[in-house]
Amino acid sequence: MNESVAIRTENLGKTFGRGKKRIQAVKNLNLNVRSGQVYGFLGPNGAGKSTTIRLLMDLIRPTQGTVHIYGQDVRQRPQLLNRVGALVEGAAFYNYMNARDNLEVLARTANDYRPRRISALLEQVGLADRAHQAVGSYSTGMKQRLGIAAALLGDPDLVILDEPTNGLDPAGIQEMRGFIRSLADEQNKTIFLSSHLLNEVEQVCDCVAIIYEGEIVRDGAVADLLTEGKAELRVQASPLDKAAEVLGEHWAVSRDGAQWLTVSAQPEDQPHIIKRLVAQGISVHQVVIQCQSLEEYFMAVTQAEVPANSRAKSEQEADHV
Amino acid sequence: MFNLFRAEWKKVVKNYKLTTFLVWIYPVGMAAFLAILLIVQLSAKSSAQGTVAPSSGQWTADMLVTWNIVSSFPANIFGRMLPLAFMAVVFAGEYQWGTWKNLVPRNRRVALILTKLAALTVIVMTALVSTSVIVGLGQSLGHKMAGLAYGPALTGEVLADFARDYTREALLGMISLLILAAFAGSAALLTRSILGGLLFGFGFSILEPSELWLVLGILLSKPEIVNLYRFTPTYNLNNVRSWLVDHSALAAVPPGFIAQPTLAFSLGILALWLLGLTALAAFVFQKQDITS
Repeated sequence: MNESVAIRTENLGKTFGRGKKRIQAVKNLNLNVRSGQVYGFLGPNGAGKSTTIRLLMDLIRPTQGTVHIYGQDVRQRPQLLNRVGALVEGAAFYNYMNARDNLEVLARTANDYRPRRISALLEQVGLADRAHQAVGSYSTGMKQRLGIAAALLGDPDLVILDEPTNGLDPAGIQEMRGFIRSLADEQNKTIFLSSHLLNEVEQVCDCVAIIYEGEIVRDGAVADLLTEGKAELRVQASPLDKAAEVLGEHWAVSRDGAQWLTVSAQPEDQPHIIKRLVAQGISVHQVVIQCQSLEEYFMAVTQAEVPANSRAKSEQEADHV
Repeated sequence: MFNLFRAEWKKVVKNYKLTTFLVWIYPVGMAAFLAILLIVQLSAKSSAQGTVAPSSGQWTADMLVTWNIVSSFPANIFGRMLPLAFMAVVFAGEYQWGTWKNLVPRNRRVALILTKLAALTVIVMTALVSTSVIVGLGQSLGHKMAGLAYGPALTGEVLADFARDYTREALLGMISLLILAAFAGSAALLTRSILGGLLFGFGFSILEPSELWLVLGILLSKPEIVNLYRFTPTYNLNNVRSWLVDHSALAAVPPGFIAQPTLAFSLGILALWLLGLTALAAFVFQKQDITS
């Protein structure tokens, strides 16, 4: 059993419907999530995130490819899912029962009923005081918290969270962020996190994959992706005109206000920039590496895919004609 | 398996509105009905000459009547509708509430379906047993108030005979309920909707024991149509009862028109219905994508 890789998918694909109604929701998806990571799964609406999560949880059957959890095919060893806890596409519960009863039903379904574990989880997600109220009276945020508790019921090694902060207030989002990070850092759990909140993913995740129209278009460590391509350095120096002249010989430079220059260079160019400026007798006050945010990166990647895909579709249509 | 059963039981019995209107209505309704009759009997002096509630005059017979609700034609046409609605709502409710996604990763799909079928059947059985006990107690009280005898006296032999008869009727009722649950489950799983489960279920409940097509077959002199009647659950339940009580086949069709099915034949047909519908429900769910 390969314990170092929590999730591995090979050419995973899912097609819904037939004929003209055929929709290929996920295509040739190859994921590799190492144990102990917090792995972000990003994509616009309808990109295939939830379908992928349902495939991972064996809720839907792949039309191609395989899902391996800790090295074993989940379709052949469904009991592997005992090691996985998931919150899939929003929390859903029996509204007529209270939180404790809902968790009891889920624990008994898994043949793992431990009342103390339920109490501890309700405490952990901040629902202990309202555990005896019917879930139907809960806000969306409270249901999400209960969903997290349900995902953690069996003390899983792998936790799959689909938009866990939906419905939470800003304080709740911040708290959830810390909670997710602590699951990985303190309890050594692997987290697979699907989210629209790119800022949240940037702060919490070690690695991310971006899915667009059912395909992974980028994946890697967050730090690597953010420095890939568009990185800039902001330089505060004097005299500024002379600094611009010196740096302009090697890099594209633009003025950024009265005291700053923006240099289109990679972070590893920082020492060379400082050396050149100092060699010319220019005073360097500050050099700041300006990476793009995950949001900028995500927009750049997904928008770059739009024309490419539109082009491919046009060509496909032309072939049919 | 015990934990899974407890989970199913809890989910269902905690749904008070559903169970009150579709399951507990039998014992509660019967208790209320008998209570009203007893109050009327108490307040009206003229009624002291007899019981108001219809009765065979024997608790051993009165307590068995309850089981006709689910196993005997024609009572079962409408008698099965409430349990059927209950079962369809419970199966399809998991789609409506979006809760299958929480359950499926936690246990084998086949186990989830089989346990649900068992739990639903046990719940309805509990309601029917309670109803029959209430009928026995209510009639006994009514007879006592009216100064009428309500036999037979409790002897070892009477109790042994009653236990045998009651077990037979309860088993036939349970088989009927299990077939009903498997049908309601299959319909709800296939349509993924409460309405779909209800419509298919009601259709089954009305058409399955219907003698319309039996009459049609006789009128058209088509034995092959009449013969189909021999394959329905209701006919075979009654045929089994006939063999066990009277030691002969149930004469539901004109003598000589078709051969009368044996006890083994009827048990075989019932087993086929039960296993076939259960396998269908399990198969459908096993192959199904749990989407939102």
